[in-house]
Amino acid sequence: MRTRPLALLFCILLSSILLLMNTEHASAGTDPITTARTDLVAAFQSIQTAQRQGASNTDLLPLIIQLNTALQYEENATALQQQDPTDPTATAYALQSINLSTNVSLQAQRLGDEAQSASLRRSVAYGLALTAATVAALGVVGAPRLIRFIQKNRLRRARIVYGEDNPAR
Amino acid sequence: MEKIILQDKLVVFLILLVSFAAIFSSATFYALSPRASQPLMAMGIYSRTGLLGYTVPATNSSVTSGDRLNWTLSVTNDMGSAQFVMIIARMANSTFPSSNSSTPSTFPEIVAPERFVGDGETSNIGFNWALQSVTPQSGGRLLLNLDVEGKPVVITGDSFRWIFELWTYDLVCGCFHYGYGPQNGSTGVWLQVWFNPSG
Repeated sequence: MRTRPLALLFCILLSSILLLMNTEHASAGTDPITTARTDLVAAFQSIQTAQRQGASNTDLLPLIIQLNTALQYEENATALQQQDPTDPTATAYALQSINLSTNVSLQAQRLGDEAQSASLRRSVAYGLALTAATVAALGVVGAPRLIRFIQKNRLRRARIVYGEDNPAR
Repeated sequence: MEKIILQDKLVVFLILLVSFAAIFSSATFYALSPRASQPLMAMGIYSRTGLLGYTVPATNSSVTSGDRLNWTLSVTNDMGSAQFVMIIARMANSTFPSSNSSTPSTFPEIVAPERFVGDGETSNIGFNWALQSVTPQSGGRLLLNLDVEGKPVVITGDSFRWIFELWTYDLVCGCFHYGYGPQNGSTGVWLQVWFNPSG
């Protein structure tokens, strides 16, 4: 009866060790060129997200140019690695591509966030439109009463002039 | 009596409010909305030196061995978002059918340059190739030795042509697919350029 919990503990420990070993293998398997490729796609995705959030094409164009440069670096790295897998220049190109892609991702996210605040401005614009509609409706309905009120006020303030006694003289 | 007048005024006010709200909201929506457009992608090819034969047979597209050709592929993106494109260049002869609007060709892929294209932008990609030698073979067939973007290519047959296909990156599958638009209903974009090789 006592052996059952021990066996269970042993199984948990064994599976934890195996999982940790697998993670180590995965991290060792990702070479800079694969990471560069993944980062390029991630940056592209960030640009598309920023576009959906309302970022303008003019703002995104410099990022597209930078991303093409990063793509060029990644292609150079791949070509060099195919010629000589131990070439350190390939890794250098891949790292340049990763840096550039990461930078593009961050800038795209910033542009997306800024564009989202523009959508807040959109809500404000609709709010203003509704306020203007209310003011206009009130104006039309209340206009006769307002005119009467102004006329009454004028009459009340006006001095009664008797005969030739004109204050303008 | 006064209560009736007040009720009438309230009704008039509500009618006016709804009308004005509709008018002002419509004007705001029109002012804030982007202009409607149909998403599309297009591809073209041009050369400053000519030698582009789009028709069969390519009567005005003779390429002699030693000729170096510098072509430019242009990709226009009007999809409403940035696109990651790949142009697959294939060398074709008369053995297999060409690409069509839904299926890519099965001819061997020679080069596949990739590019990010911004929305509303046209991107130009250089395509340089040279015919190095032409060797006649039996049955009127020819053996061509080409240099395409620094890559040696050998092909035999007749009715030679270049096929260019536009592929776009799909973030859902994490892969390129032929044409543009959703993968299950994409629109194929391709073009071919015939040439007559001569020694």
